[in-house]
Amino acid sequence: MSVTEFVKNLQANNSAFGKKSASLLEGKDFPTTRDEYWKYTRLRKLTKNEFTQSGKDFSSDLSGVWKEDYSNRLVIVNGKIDESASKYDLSISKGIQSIEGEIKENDNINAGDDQIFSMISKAYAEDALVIDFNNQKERDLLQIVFVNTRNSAIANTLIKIKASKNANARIICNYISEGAGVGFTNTYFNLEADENSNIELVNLQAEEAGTFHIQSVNGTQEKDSKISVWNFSSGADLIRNNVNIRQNGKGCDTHVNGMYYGEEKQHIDNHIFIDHASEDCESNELFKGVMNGQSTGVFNGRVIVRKDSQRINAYQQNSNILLSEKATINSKPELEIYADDVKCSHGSVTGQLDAKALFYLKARGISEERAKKMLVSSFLEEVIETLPEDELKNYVVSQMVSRIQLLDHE
Amino acid sequence: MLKINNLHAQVEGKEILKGLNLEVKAGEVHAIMGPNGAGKSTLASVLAGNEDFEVTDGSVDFEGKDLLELETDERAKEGLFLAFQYPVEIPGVSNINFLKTAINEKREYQGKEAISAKDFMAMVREKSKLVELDSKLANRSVNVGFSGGEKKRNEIFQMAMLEPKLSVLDETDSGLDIDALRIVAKGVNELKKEDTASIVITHYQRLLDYIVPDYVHVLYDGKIVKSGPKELALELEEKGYDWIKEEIGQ
Amino acid sequence: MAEYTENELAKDLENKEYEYGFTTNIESEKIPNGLNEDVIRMISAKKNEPEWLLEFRLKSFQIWSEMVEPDWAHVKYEKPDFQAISYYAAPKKQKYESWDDVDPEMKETMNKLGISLEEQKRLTGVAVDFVMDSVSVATSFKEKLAELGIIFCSFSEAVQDHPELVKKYLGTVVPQTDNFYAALNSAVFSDGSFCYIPKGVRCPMELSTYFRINEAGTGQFERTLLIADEDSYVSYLEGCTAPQRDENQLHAAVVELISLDGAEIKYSTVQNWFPGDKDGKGGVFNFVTKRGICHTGSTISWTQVETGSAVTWKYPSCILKGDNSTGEFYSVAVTNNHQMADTGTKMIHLGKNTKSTIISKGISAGESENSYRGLVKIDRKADNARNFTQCDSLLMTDRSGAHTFPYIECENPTAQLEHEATTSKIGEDQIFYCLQRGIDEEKAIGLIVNGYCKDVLNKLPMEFAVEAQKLLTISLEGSVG
Repeated sequence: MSVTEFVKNLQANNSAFGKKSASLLEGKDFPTTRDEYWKYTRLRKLTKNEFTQSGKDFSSDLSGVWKEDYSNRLVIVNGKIDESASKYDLSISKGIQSIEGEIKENDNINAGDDQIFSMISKAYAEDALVIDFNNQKERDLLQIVFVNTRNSAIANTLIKIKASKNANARIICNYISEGAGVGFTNTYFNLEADENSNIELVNLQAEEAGTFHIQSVNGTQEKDSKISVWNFSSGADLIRNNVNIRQNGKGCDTHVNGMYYGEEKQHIDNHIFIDHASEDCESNELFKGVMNGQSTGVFNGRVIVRKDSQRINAYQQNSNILLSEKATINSKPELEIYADDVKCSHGSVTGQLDAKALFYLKARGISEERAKKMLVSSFLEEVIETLPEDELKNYVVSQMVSRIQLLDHE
Repeated sequence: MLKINNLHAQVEGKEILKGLNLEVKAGEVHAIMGPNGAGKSTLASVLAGNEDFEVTDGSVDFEGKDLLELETDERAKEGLFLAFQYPVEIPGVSNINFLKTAINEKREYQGKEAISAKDFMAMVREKSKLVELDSKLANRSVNVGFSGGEKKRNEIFQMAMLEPKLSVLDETDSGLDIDALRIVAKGVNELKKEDTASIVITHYQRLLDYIVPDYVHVLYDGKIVKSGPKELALELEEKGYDWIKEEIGQ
Repeated sequence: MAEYTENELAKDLENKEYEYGFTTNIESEKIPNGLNEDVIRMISAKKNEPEWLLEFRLKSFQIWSEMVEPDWAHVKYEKPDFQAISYYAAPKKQKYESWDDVDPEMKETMNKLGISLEEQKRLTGVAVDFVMDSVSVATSFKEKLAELGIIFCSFSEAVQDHPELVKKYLGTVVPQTDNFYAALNSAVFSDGSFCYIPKGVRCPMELSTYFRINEAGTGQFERTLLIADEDSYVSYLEGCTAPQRDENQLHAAVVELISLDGAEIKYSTVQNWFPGDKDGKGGVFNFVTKRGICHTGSTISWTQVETGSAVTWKYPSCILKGDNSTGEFYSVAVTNNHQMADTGTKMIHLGKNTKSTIISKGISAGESENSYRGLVKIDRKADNARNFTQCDSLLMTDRSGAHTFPYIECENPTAQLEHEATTSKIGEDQIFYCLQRGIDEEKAIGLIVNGYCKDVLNKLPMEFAVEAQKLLTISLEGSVG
């Protein structure tokens, strides 16, 4: 299926990188399952739809979405910033022109993997944000709510997050949808972590059925910096998360964690690429999935330790539970190691709920449904526990519980 | 047998041994005691030839040879044995195979023929009794799945099998209960001969209740600051290491 | 430690000649280089093959002609020129009435390999089907096996004597369309081994085939077909050494195993083709398709020790079609200098209560690239399937690469799948411990590596295990640094 056909109703923006991206897309086809990094994800159900750039009116009540202590709030509707609903005192530049020079037409760290969707985002984005975190002591908190109003809306947004030396940033991104019909959210993030800075990005993907969600997060890290990304994914017909992080300086630490829950014919795909391009670094990945109905979960974790990147510790874990006879899991934890003084390991486990535990709970008078919920929750708990604060953990559970019916929330 | 003269050694640029002198003669048992960080284990590592430790000055004469010029395995073949504080696990390599290789390497070095399977097994049976090591352990992988006590007994078992001239026991008592301690000490004592010697490195006096030293040395800040008869150990036990610090005026 | 052991020793050993590198000068009959339908007709005619087999070859050739050489493996090499290869070579003297008739030079070759037939007959009870340059020249123990109804012969003989069996099973596990090299092999396979174990028979001895590439520029296209009928058992050994050559040699074998209800096949390989010299010049390209199908309650167990070849591309696999069937894969792959290996397995669980175990140990030395690539697939209908996978990589140098590419696909909620992988450097503390016990560095590495691979080596038949241990040590000499 040609990209040109897919974008025929869309208007490219007039940035230099946008024009280049649009020209690079000409004549390109969408990847198929013959492409190694799309082996388990068919794009047909997304690409067969026609999407249009839409306005920014929305009706959702966001009061239940906002996290109270986050004073910096942004609302992005169908890819465009809604100023009236936003308030902040951070250093933020807005508009396509603001990001000119900050990103390139092909700056994906894992080239070839998610390039096409990044380029679509770059070519057809209607708005962009460049957020500078330059605090030196306190952590800046920012919450961004992405609303997709469906009715064939496509939301392409470009966001650059810069954390200058020693700065601390924590960003929560909520993805929600309203309206009816199909909607496509295609977000591109570029994270730049300067020396000793810390960026935390929490993605809560809880759109309704009928929506499609592709997110590309590209991050680069300098000396002693830390980047943590969490993907909490449920809802949407198709979710594909690409997280590509490159460690350029010594002493970097990268954490990418996620949990996913699928029902009906949902398809949730996490592709994580960590590029250890410097010495004395660490990376950790923990992904846990529960697949119900006819859903499919995909985990592809790829760790590269470059030549001369000595003293690397890299750890990947992917655990899955299949709840239904028609659910599928595809797990592909890859290691590519070109240095010798390393400790790298990965594990992948797939199974079902512990029948003995289930029986035990039932024998204590707990209903099957309730018991399942308890076991699923305790299985997923490990991912939630990787979040930095109790308050945030509670918030994440409260936001995901509407989508993940089997999640326990008091 | 062993003469250490003005030994200086450093690790990662930090000087640990700062001019250590020690002489050990055949038939003697020397105890080296000292507070944590004094350089006790560094001494053991330097003697064995661990490359993490760089010798910056001084000399070590072992049976008329310059020990520092020898490779680690050559030192072992010349008769130096180190009982490790933390014996390493080598998965998949059986104790038996490991020891047989070690013994035959040494015999080859000495120009002797390889040991026959029969003699070797007889030796294993005899020596494993010495340290009350379950013969099943001999067939297991080197130190894999051994308890702390079993690992230490295995070290003494290997010592018995390899019949070294000089044994260096690095904190062999650490992590041992009283029974294991007694077994280890018994092994060491029974192996004591007129032409062999031992250096027992320990933090506590209690091992010396079982292995009675001829000399006790106090290692402090990279040097031997005090030497004396076995009673010195008791004095240290009673007064602690602060007493030494005071005595040497620090 | 002084300079010598680290650097000079490594250099000394790098120059060490390939341990089993030698050439036998036997007059060979070769056909001109190149591949087309006429060549295939010629091969088939020379072997006096029935029409259906010629059809099979021609169809395979047609399929192959439309395929492209795969490039997804983590290996880099100059693709062979398939028109520059001779597709048939046979020693001119084809059959020997008695052992005395066998070319003395060939006997010498076998002596160097340590597989003198007399000795084997007398001491080990191993029957040997010796393949030199594509045509079987010596087979032993045939009569003894025949008493039990066991057929163990060259593939060509099987085509003549047991065409019904060959026709029934050929291409049923590895279809012609399977992949580029399997299609090529199906078109031009020269010879190989055939084995049939009748119902309920336990083959009393290890069946063994020693392969050898001998003719410069001759591609080797072996075809092995092994059928274990219901409730039978066989242990099959395959070992290879190859003479030293400057040019690349292509080896594209196909092995098909059929394990019928309740049968068990153990298939062990020690592969030591010429790996190329220390600069990566020469060496064998080993592109092999090995696959077995397990019927109800049957077992297939693959064990391989791979130390040779310049490029290896090999995934011995099991299709667990029958309920309660079991697949096993135990592998040690050592790469040194400029070798590249992309090897692993596929365990396809189709039946209920099927089990598979994968243990893979990769060792990368020199500037080599060593990849594990494995698929575990649990089909929708495969209730209660179990898989355990352990794949470990050991790095000997900072110039080598160790990679793990597992594919885990599960469509059934009752499956239990566990995959673990680790990558680490050889333990310096372990080497030091050995050194302190008077064991020199070479031997210490040999000990540690053999220990690391023990779980796999234990699966080999005794006589093979000894050879494999020696090979591992030889392959890694001078490799630390």
